[in-house]
Amino acid sequence: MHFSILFTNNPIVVPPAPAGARETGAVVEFHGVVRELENGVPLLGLQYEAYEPMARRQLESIFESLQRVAPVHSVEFIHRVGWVPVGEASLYLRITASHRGEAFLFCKETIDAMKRNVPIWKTFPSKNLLTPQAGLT
Amino acid sequence: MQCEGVQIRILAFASASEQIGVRETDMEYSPADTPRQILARLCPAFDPASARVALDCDYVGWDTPVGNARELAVLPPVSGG
Repeated sequence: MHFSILFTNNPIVVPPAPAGARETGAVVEFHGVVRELENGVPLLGLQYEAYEPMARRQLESIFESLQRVAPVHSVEFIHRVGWVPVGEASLYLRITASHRGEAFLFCKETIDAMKRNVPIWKTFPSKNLLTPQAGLT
Repeated sequence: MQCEGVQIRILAFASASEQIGVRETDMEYSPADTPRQILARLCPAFDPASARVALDCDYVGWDTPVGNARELAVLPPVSGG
């Protein structure tokens, strides 16, 4: 299994598909996008931070564990840090595998495990609240 | 007894940094100290039940002796994605 983990302050650019994977029969992509309403509150965006060395270690452990139950060929994981405006992706995940079952399972379980244990946080600075005074229509 | 001159780096993230008042600092410590004891010295008002703790990038319990760890991180509930 090949995997790549990237944290970036910049908008996510989808990396080129891995070449020469003739055994790949399934490619599953997930884009986690910042939405305007968070718990019913309109926002301009979200601020993300990560404890990157530990996040990488946790993600590697997750990938290795999942590989035993859902073998895949490759994993591309990209997470934004810093300010992410509404409408932009904060998370990108691409899984390639021989079959869709493993690819979908690996993708879902990675995200679920990330939300339990990977040290990444989003915060909601009060200045981001969209109010009528700030131009909410 | 603390080891004179031996320091551990304390990192606090997200809401924990607001509660503790710092994002990063160094403190002298003894290998027998636990994260709970170290945080109590740094910020007596901090409630360890509000966060998890890691030593050198591994989750541990609040009452685990820090031993030779170089970095202690205070981690509120994660919310990536």
